Amino acid sequence: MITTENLTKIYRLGDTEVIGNVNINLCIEDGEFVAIMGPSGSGKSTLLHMIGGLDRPTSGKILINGLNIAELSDKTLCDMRRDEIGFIFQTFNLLPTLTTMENVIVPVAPRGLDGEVWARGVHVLESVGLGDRMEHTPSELSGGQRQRVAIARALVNNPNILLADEPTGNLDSKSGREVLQLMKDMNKGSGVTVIIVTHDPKVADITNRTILLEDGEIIKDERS
Amino acid sequence: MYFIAYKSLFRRKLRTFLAAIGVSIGVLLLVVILSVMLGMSSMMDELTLSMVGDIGVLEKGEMDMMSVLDKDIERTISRVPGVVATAPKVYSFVKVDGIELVPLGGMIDEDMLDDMPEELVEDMMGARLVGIDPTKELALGSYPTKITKGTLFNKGASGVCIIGSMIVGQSDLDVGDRITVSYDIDGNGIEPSEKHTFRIVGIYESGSEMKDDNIVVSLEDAQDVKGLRSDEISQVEVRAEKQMEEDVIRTLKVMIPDVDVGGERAMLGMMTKMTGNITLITALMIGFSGLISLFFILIIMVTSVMERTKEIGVLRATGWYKSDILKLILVESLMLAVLGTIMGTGLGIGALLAIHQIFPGIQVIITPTLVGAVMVFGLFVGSVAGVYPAYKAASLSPLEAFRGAE
Repeated sequence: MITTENLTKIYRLGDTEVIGNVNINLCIEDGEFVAIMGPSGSGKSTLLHMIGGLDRPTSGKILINGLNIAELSDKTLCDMRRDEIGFIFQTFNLLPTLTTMENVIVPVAPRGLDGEVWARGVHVLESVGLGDRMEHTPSELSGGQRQRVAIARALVNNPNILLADEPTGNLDSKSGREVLQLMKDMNKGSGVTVIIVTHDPKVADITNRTILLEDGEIIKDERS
Repeated sequence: MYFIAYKSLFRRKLRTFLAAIGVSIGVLLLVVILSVMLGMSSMMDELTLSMVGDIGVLEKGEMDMMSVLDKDIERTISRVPGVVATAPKVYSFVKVDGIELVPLGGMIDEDMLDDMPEELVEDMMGARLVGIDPTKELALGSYPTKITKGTLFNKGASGVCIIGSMIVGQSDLDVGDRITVSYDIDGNGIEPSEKHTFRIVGIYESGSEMKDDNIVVSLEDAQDVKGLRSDEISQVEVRAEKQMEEDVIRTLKVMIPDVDVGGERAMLGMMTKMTGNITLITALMIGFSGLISLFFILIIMVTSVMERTKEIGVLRATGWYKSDILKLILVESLMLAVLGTIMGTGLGIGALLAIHQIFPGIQVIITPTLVGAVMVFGLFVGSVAGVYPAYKAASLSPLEAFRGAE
C-alpha cells in the first residue's frame, strides 16, 4: 500500500519558489491500476518521482507498506527501487549499446549475474512477447518493442509497484494500446500496483482509478 | 557490469581509439626514457668499474698520456698516512703494425666508424700502451689478478707484454706471438717513432672496456717507447685504506701542490652527480608522460559521462548504488588505460629498435621489469584519471540525471 501524508514539494529556482506538489494525501491499495492526469506543470511527474524514491519531498511523508521512504538512506532507497519498484519512461531510456537481454538485466548487473538472473530475463522477455528479440539492440527494434523491453526491465525483479511516466507518449496509437494492454495484463495477472502519469485520456479509460492534479494539488480522485 | 563498461567504451570506436593513442604517447615516452636511462646507467656502471677505488696523481692540468711526473714523487706519496700501496704508470698511445685496432672497441662500434671521415678513423686506430711495475701492481691487485692466459712478466723483464682481451678480439694475436708498436708522438699518427717489438706472454681481462684494449709492458720499456728518462713517469696510482680515501686526497693536495690528485675519484663524484641529474630529469619526464596520458583519459571520460547523464540516471533509477556508478566509470577508465598502455608499450619498443638502428651508440635496454613498471604506471594513471569523472557521475542524483538530458 502506498500512502502519502501532506506530501509537499517546493523547488527553488534562484529566488523564486516553484510549487511541485502541495499537501497531497493519497492512499493507493495493492493491485490498483491508477492514472494520474493533469495539464503540464501540474505536478504529476513530481508526485511519481517522489513515490518512486527518485526525489525527496520538502515536507510530508510517503509510506510504502508503512515505511516512510523519505527518511531512507540513499543505499536503502536504491535497494527499494531495485527490488520493489519498476520504472517505465516516455523515452524508453534503454542503453543503446546493449542487447535487449542485457538491457533487461541491467538493474541486477552490479549484484552479479548468475543463471537464475538470465532465466528471469528470458522469462520476462517472453512474457512481453520479445522472446525472439533477445540479441537485438534497441536500434533494431520498433518504438513499441522498445517500450516492451523497458517494461521487461521494470519487471525483472518482480516488483510490487510499476511506475510509468507517459509510457505511450512516444508511440503510435496501435503500439500505445498494446503497451497499455500489456500493463493491464501484468496488473491483473500478478497483482502488481500500476501508476501511470499521462496526458492521454484513453489511458484513463482502461485504469480503474483516475487522479486529476492541478497546480500541484489533487482536484479529483475517482474510481471507475 | 564489465560488459556494460566494455560496450560503453566502444560505443564511439574512433574516439576511444584516439584517446588510446593519446595515452600510448605518454606510455611510449615512458618506455623510451626508462630504456635509455637503463642503458646509460649500465654504461656508467661500466665506467665506474674501470675506475675502482684508486687515487690517481697526475701532472697538474694534464691528461694521463700527456702528464709527466718525477718518479721520486711516488716515495713521497707512499709516506702519507693511510696510503697502502703505490704504483707508477707510463701511458702512451701507439700504432700497431699490421693490425687496425679500434680504441675503446666496445664503445665505438662499426656503424659509428662508418659515419666518420676516413682520416679520423685512421688517426684513431691504435692502442694505449701502459708501462707498469709488476711487483707494485700486485699490491694494487690489478693486472696480475686478471690474467686469463699465460703469465704476467717479472720485474725487469724487457721486450715482453700482456694484452687485453679486446685486442685479442680484434686480431688473431695469442700468447707467444709478437706485436710491433710505434709511439704516436703528436697523437695523430703523422710522426711515428721507431718501432719496438714485444712478445706476448699473457692475456688479461678486467671487464672494463677502458682497460681491456691496452698493451701492458714494463715501466722501463714504456719509457723507452715514449722517449722518457728513467726518472719520468705519467702517473702514480695510489691505494688508500678504506674510508681514508678522502683524507689521503686532501693530504696529497696540500703536500704536493703542483699535481692533480684524485683524477678518477673526482670523476666518479662527477658521474654520481650526473647520474643524480639524469634521475631527476627522468622523474620529470615520467611525470610529464603521466600527465599526457592522464589528460587524454580525463577528457574522454568527462565527455563520456556528460554524454551519458541520462543513462547514468536510468541506472540509478533501477537501483544502482553510487558506488556501482563509480566502479563502472573507473573500470571504463582502466580499460582505456590498459588499451593505451599495450599500444604504447608496443610503439615504445618499436621506437627503441628504431633509435638503436639510427643511433647505434645509444644503448637501449628492455627488461620484463621495465614492461611491468610501465603497465603498473598505465593502470595507476588510468585509475587516477578516472576518479574525477567517476565521482562526477556518481554524485548525480537519478532525477538530476534525467533533467540534465532534457
